[in-house]
Amino acid sequence: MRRILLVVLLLCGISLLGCGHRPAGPLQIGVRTANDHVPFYIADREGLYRDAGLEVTVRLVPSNTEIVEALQRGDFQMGAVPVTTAITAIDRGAALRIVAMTGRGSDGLLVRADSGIATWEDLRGKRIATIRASILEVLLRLALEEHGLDAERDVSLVYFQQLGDMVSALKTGQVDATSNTEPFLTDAVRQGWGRILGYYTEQWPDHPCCVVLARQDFLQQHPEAVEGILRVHVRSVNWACADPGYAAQVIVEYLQAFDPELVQASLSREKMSVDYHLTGEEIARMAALMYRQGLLEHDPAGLEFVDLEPLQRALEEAK
Amino acid sequence: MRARWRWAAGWRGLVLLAGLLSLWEVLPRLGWVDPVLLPPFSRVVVRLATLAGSGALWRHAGASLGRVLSGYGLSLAVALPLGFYLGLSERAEQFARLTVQLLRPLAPPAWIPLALLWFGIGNPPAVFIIFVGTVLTVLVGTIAAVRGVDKRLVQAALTLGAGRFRATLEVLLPAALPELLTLVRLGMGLAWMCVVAAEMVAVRQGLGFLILEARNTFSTDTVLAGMLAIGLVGLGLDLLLRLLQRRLLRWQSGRKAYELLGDPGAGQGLWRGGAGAGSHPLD
Repeated sequence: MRRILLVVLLLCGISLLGCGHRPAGPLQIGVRTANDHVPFYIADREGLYRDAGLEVTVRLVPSNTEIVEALQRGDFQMGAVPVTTAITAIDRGAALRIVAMTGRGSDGLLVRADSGIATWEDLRGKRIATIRASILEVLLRLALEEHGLDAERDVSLVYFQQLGDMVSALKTGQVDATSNTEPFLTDAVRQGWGRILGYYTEQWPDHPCCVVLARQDFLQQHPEAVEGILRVHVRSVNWACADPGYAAQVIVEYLQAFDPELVQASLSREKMSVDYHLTGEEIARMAALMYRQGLLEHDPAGLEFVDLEPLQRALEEAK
Repeated sequence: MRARWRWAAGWRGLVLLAGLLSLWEVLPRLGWVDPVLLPPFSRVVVRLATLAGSGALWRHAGASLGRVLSGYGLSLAVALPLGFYLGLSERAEQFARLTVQLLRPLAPPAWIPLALLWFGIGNPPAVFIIFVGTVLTVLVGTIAAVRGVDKRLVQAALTLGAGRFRATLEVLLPAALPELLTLVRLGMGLAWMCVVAAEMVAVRQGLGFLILEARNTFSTDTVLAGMLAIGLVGLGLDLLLRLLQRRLLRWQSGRKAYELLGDPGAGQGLWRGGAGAGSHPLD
């Protein structure tokens, strides 16, 4: 009897895994603490969703993977993650679509100021910290390749899980460089110990960084809600671009780290940009790059990553 | 009779396991569970076989095994003698208690930033995290095992003329040994639980690394294959430790009070089929 009860309980538990649809409460958007997620912070802080007649909760989540996992379970209907995370998830069969951009640029290679590394060629034989299968690794490999270096033979990639751990490892000399992002890059320079060897925008100007993801069933069943959220997204992106000082202040408030001056410095146009424009071509290019680097299971030519319609409709209505 | 009961118990265990695995297989196939969240069991087995065939599984398992044996071996080398000493000396135990209890609740991942700063990258921080994740549990368990020995046993030895050293070595140690060996087995399980946290720190091989990498790429079948591999390696090591336990505790057979209780009609044993040597619930 006890065993039967156990099996029934287990079945109920497992069945819950499959329940992932529209919740009864507010819509949930999962975001991380990152510069280019600022449009969501602004929308949340200023009550822009409420003004648009939407009941939305913006949830801060510690990792990109957790956002996608929550999207798959149906805990979130939309989320913001790096473009590589979104592409990988869709490649693995997640029923998600990229519906807008949130940021471009912001990633680059950081070395210690006293390391003697002045050019990419100086990286030969050095240890570079990065996060496996992340945008930081994809763009690092692209940059190495464009500078004539082989990521497997000429340098040694050391994998970490956290951005902060990579910075600590560089600072203490455990590694010689780290593929990292803003505002960590600018912070290291301002503290005087770090030097940015280059931003990956040198290899790919305005490369996509973070994107907005939506569950496919949510897109089909609630197109008006997606459009509404994207209208708010466009509005808060414009707000962040028009007033970087305010954007920096909001980022500091949500990140609970760094100072507004540093964050504003890291938001400068040559380092990164907050943006909502999205094209299928740039996502296809990124997917092709990832496939070439062995990070995708399927040939991306046969996969659908993007749904541009909700953004187009949102922009038309905004006009 | 005993052999028949043991055989029957073994089959019953397999039936439950097979039932659960069948559910795991069927639920995603029927669409009751999203296969991205829980791929069918057969797909996980195929993934495990593919990893084994390519040699990757053995490389990852070998790397993790090396770290577990180093970290846990170090932990035993520190915790067993120290725990024995603290178990014998109440004053020393009181001196150490606050520090031990303060550090014991710290989860292994909490040590990662420090491990990185103190030991750099590669194996040393991973070994340290396994060490720190197991040492205090083994220490506290050893103190409890020593304290749990019947005072009369030692008193008898001292009365019969044994010196303190001899009474410790020949009476206290053997009397605490059953609990210590169980502790060593539990600690080994704990060490494997620390592997994933340990391999978050700048390593490129290991079952924990395999799981974390697969999580980053949403390869749930590889995550589950890695978990299955950890379970199997852990099971293998536990089997070895059980053999050692049986060999060292042969003198204990026939002292199992629980065999006289429970399971009426099942012959003997509160745990069915548990008659004979090695029928502890952890066996």
